[in-house]
Amino acid sequence: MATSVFALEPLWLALLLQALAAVLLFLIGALVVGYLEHKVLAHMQDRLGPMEAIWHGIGQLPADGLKFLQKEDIIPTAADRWVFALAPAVAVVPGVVIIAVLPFGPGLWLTDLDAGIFFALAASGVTVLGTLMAGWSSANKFSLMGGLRGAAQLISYELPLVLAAAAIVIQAGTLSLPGIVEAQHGFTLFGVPMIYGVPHIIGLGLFFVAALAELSRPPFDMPIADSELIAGHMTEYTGMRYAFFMLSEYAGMVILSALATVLFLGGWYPWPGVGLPEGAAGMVLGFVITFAKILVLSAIMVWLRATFPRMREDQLQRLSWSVLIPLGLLNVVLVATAKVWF
Amino acid sequence: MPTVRSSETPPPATRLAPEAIGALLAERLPEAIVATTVAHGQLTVDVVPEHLPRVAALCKREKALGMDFFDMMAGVDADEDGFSVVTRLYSTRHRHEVLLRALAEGGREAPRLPTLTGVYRGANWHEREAYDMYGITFEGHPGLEPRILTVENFEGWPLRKDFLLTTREIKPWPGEKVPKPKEEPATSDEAAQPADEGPSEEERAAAKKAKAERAKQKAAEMRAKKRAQREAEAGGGATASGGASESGKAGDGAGDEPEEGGSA
Amino acid sequence: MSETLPQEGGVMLPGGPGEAMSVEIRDRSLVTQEMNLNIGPQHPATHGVLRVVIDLDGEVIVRARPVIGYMHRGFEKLAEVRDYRQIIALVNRHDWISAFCNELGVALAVERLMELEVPTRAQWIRVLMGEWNRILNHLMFIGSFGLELGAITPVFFSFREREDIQAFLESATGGRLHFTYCRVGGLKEDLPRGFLDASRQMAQTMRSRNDEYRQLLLGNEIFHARTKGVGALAPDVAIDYGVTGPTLHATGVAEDTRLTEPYCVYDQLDVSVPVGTNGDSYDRFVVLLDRIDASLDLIEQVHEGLPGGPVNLKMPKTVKAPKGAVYVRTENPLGQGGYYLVSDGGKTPWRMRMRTPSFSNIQMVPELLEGSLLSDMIAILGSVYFVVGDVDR
Repeated sequence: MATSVFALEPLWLALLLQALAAVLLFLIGALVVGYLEHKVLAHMQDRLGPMEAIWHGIGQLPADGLKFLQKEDIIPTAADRWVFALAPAVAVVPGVVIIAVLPFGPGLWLTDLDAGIFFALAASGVTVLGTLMAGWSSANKFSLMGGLRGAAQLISYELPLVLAAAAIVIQAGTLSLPGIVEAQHGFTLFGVPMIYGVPHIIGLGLFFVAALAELSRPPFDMPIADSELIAGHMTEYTGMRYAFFMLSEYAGMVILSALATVLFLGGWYPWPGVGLPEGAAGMVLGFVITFAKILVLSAIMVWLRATFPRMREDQLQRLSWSVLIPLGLLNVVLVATAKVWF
Repeated sequence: MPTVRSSETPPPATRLAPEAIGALLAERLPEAIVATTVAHGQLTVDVVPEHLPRVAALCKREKALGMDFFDMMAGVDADEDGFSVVTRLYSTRHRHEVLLRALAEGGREAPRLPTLTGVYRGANWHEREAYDMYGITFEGHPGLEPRILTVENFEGWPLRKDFLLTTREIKPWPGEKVPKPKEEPATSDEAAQPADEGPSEEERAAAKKAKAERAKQKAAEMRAKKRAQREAEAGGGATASGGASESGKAGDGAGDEPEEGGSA
Repeated sequence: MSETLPQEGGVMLPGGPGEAMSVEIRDRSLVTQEMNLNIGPQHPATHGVLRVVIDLDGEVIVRARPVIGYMHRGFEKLAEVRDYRQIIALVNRHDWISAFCNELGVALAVERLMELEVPTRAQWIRVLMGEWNRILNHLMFIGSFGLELGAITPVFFSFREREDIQAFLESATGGRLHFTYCRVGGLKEDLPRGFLDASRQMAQTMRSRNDEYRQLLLGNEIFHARTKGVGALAPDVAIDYGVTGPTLHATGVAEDTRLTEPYCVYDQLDVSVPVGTNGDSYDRFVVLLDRIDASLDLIEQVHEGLPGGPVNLKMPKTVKAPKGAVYVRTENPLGQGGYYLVSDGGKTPWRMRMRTPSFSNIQMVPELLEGSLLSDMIAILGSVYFVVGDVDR
């Protein structure tokens, strides 16, 4: 197995580069997916979307970022100042942390933890803390309800997410994300090289639906339902702090799409059994392939947003506890049985 | 979804003519009905105010009438008589209607009427609006306050004729400012009468013009007063330009004779 | 905590800004604190400045009181100081998305008072314009209802069609929103050349587009889950409150002025009124979609039957309605619009009462809200179609 390109001497240089890479990936990923959402959504809705900023509105999001920077930072008088100010950071940090374990190509990861998938899922669960903090500290009823809805939603959808991943871990026999990609590379279904997504079709579905709910993406966007709760926990936020929440949403799309790519779609390999050239060329190709898969998954998320209305909070809970979680448990049992059998 | 077509739903045979409804009401509640009028194919029934809920209840519950639909309630300024309230009831089953008109008791000072909310739930907001606009108190209403349309600390009753629109104090045409005491109240039972023609119209136009002139004079006076005040406050060159623009505006106002667009 | 509000049950509670709220505890065994929440006057769900004060127990609405008047512009007072020509321009503006239907109501009222016989061609064109205006209005609400449920695409589709329809209506009326095309005794002017062709073509396009909306929303499982059985209205309650329009039709009552008291030439046309069965949000929405088809039917009938001739009566320079009073009702897109016109013989009305559909419809809303979930409130408010300007005037 390849080692990380960041395994450098001296250690401080490695750490510096890693930190830089994590932040850059986080920002670039969020911007690209944000632009993708703008354009895909617009074209699905029979309009053009941003067209003015540079070429086909490609500079729209950086321009938006600049605009957010200039905006006044307002903290409501009744708000809990510290918690209010910290909440956006708490929402953003888990995303950056998860990027540390995500493999974007052969050797293109910051660190290879033995319990990588476990770490990634655990860290993604921290995001809810940001939502809750924002909702509680804003001293606004709409924010509070948004925060509570968000918390309830994350608790119920963390389980199907973990169950779907657990089945893959059983299949691959490793918790390490690069390890899962390599194991998938050698996987054959009745002699045919196959990505995990095909036998684990239930798991893929579970993971994707749960990921949408984790991200509060439509049709599961009740915590920020604009027609009911204005903007949920983000109601009172302005300027950069608001931008942080938006950033964490788009980065979340990248991260969960990347996780799904690693777990179900063969990671950086175009197809299991099809190798990549050695060295730098392989790295670039692997990165391009991973990112292409991420963008396809993100585009599907955007597509769902263009198509579906929002569910209701109780319907969402019912879906999780009475459909997804039993299905997830069944999936784990099936996979474990099949693993022992074959 | 099913559809109902007009060809399949001819007017029901139970539909009563306006005169028949009037006769039926007068027969059933003779003490409550003052008069019935049919004008433009519409029945208007003048009701003794304290019996208004009884009449409405009869209209609703009497099988042949079956007026289940509370359409609207309109307060009307009736000059020195006070205020009247016109309620339209309609039957969705028989497709006939009635306009109940009741003159509020208490004149212009403390107009009051019994509420219809006990008969129709829909009367609630309409009565609140009539209260808000005319100050008519509906006895037995669950809560007329706070005022439904205007702000809660609003003073006056905006749809009364003695409540003047500020703009019309300055520039009177084409509205009327005050109730015209000589003329018949609007709630008279008469059917349509052709409007006065020829000389009387001219006379009236002349009178109106004179009135407009007077109001304009008054407005000019006020403006002059205001200008003087401002000059006193500010002084110096700034007022000169302000005064010029003011006078320009006044000139506009003077030339603002109504422009009649021929629609023919 | 001890004091209860003065009135419970079916009767609306009065409410206003700054009024002290009291909390009533119903079940002592499980004491939960109710939360008082102001939806509006600035809230995306109320598309306008409607305010609904609700008391929440968790996410269940215990009590709801609409507070209106934030957009009161005194139209009825203004009407008393304007002549009839000006009033036609004025009433365009209280319900700004059913402008033509409003002005038609005023013109009809004055004509009825003056006992005028309007030329046939004008009457047919009035029907044509009224029906296109109805479609414009319904498109608006189809889009916004989707938006309120979180489906963001329908609104772009429906506004695309609105744009097209407004474009050719503008060629005849000169206005895109406020048409001001009616006059007492007829119309402003005849239809321009090419108008009927554009109208025919648009009617065809509209039919296929209407199917597109059906597929987009009615084919969606979540849409069904969000709207079916939500905010079910009983027909007798609706009638008692004076609810009209699609909201009433969805309960199964086909009380439509075009059907029961035809004006213009509706009595010569085959009017179809789609009705629902359950009176819930879903039915209200489907009725809206079906009404577009019904309007297109009427438009096509007008295309075929439109007679020639003048569109105007010769009218005096100043229109003066004779002394008297008349009530005229028309079927506006949102329900029954009525004008009670009292004239003292002058050139301005003595009194002009505007009976607007939204006013009565909003009055009924607490009946639906109480006992439902906060999320359902959006599905209910979005499907009891109203325009705040029409509520407040």
